Amino acid sequence: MLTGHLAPGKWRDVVEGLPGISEGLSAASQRIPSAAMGDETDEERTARFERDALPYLDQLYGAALRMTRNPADAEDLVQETFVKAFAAFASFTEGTNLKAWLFRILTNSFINTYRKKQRQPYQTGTDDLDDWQMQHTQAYATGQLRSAEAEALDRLPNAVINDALAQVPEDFRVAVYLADVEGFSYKEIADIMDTPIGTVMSRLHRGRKLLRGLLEDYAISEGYLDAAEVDASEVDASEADGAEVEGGDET
Amino acid sequence: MSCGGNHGCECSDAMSLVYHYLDGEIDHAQRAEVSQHLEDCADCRDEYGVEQVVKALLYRSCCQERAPETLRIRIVARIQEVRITYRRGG
Repeated sequence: MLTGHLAPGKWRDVVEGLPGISEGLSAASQRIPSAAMGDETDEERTARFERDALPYLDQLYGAALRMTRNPADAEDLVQETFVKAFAAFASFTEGTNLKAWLFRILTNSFINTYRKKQRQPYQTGTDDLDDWQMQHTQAYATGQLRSAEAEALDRLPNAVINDALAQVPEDFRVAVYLADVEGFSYKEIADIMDTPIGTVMSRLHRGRKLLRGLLEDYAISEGYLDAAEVDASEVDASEADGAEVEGGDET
Repeated sequence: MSCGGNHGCECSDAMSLVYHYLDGEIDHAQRAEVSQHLEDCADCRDEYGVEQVVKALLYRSCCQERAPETLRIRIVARIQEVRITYRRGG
């Protein structure tokens, strides 16, 4: 983490040490137009950074909170992100996707530096999601119940939704957050998370199923949803088990 | 995710695209097909409704996060520090 003094000689290391920064979505930024960048002074670049990048502070902090699940770590992560972004900013071309570029640095920083020293056990969940987790998200079935369910879920307080999201394994949680809160496209999420687009879709699918299951559980336990009605529809759980991959054919 | 209604395959086809539809990651022809099916099938419409609500809930609960002002101040200070260090180093 870049909390210490940044010695001049380390400058290049910082920029080049950003995993994936020079590929993918920032490919365009590698073609530095001399007219745009050549004459930019240090002060001008700093001003441009503060004008263009700093406004994403709240959004990056919100994402960092969901990644780290605690405010102190989120602050560290965001600060690290901005220092790295500033170090690499000379190679960022104005007019390309700055928001996605910043989120990519945030996500990389989280994965490569933060996650390693995290006290909680590492939990990506991508390949080893417990059967029961997937199964219990499949319980709620018939039409009328679902429309009651939509209304019930809609009444859940924000704190409950945040708690539920925090329980979703990391890679799923980040994918769902990037799609549903930040509105990134599948392609952008693939670039940000450095994964194939099919993996993004699978993570979204599983993450949303889990989240929905957790919210349903809460809605039932707090009386927002009638458990008896849900039990009655649980027949469908057996047939849906194991059919969670996107495009999966379910009959 | 068959609704078990009369539509059979149509339901599972439509629901296999439900997230793509929800996220706007779907081509024009498929979008039209799913829209039509949701219009015709109340069960799938309800199922889609729940997914829509979950997506909206997440946005609602996360979209108003504000970073602490002290963090902003610290970041600006760090940037200036890094800039000065860089300049001194040539």
